[in-house]
Amino acid sequence: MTMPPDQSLAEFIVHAHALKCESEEQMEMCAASLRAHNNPEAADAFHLLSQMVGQAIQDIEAMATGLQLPQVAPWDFHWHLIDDTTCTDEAHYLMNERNVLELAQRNEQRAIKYFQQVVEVATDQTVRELAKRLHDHEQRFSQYIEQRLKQLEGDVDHHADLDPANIPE
Amino acid sequence: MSESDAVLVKPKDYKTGVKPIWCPGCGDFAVLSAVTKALAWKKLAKEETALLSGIGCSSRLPAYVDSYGFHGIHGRVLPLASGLKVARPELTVIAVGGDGDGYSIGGNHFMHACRRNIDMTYIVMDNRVYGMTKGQASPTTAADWNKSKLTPHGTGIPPFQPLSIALAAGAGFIARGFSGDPKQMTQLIVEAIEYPGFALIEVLSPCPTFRPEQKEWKHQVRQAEDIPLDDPVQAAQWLAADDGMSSGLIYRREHPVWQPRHDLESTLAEIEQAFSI
Repeated sequence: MTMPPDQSLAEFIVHAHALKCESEEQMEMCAASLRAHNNPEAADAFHLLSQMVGQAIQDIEAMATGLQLPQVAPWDFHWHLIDDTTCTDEAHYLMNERNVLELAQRNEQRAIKYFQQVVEVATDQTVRELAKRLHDHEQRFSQYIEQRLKQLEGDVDHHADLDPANIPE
Repeated sequence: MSESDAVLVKPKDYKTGVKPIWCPGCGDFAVLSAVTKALAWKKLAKEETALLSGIGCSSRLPAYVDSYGFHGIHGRVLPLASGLKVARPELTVIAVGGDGDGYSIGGNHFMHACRRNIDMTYIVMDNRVYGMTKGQASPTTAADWNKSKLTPHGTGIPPFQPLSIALAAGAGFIARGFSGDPKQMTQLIVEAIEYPGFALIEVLSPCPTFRPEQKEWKHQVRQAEDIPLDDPVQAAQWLAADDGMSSGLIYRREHPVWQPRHDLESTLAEIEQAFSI
């Protein structure tokens, strides 16, 4: 992800909001899909993460109050690939909580990197301040995931599917 | 970028409360997301938009979009969509489905929808397999794919070439998207909605359950280059040379849209007179 240094606060809020909304939506879709596939453990993990992202969205929306927001076409956001924003293609019906958290951690690291970059290059002081706040939020989120992962050591890898759907006879 | 005092755009507002039951990892999730983003960007009113589908995993999509929707019968999404658009030309009509539904069971309708050129968008989520019926070869499956119990030695049949056939049949908007590139896909859907006529978007949408090797598509799909765009002969040559993994708008040329006039109304008595023996 790259961003122009002269981005205004309103532009940055729109980007940050879209980034978090995308993340929340992806996690909710994964949660629903895994629940439908009788995997409540992974579904609950995705749902919990989604709720945590939702708190960040509320925070951003509160900051947007009273601002004249630009409309950015979905294809004009500064991130360029699915890896920047999404997780649904990495989901698997046998994934466990560890797999969910590892996936979420990869997303968090990308988000931290993005907000860190904004802190470093933005010329607008208010943008830097908001980016720092969001960066710190992501750091706390990442630390929570890390702590939870340590409690789950020993879980098996979901790719060990002993009954795959397509076995030619 | 345009200034507006509108609230933050939320594609989520175009979703119903029905949760998708696609397999985790399915590419169709990204298509659903792109469709809702396109609708949000276009600010299309829910009552001015209709999504229709046939049968198959991808054909569940209208249930998840908060607009008019119709889950039709196998292979018949294009006749349904055509009828709706002819009767209600003010609606934005989007037909969706999969490769089996669109190119096999509905193959004949596909060709004639291309040449009829009714103003609608057709999104085909192509995973090169019949997923809903547990993994049989579809029209776009490679001849040597031997993972299905029905075709243990492969089909031995060259795959259907939907974009070339669409071009030959007269389609004026032909594009290929990829579920791993939702930004491009959203842009293609918006452009297809704005195109006056039949617009085809083939979306490479991996099936993680029956074609797990398609996860590699994210490393294989690339932006299409040197696209002829509006020259049908060059486009045909370009498509013949393409390996099916290039994404982007490949051909765009406007043709007269078929839309019957609605001023030819008759009274009931006149209709009865016309049918009298």
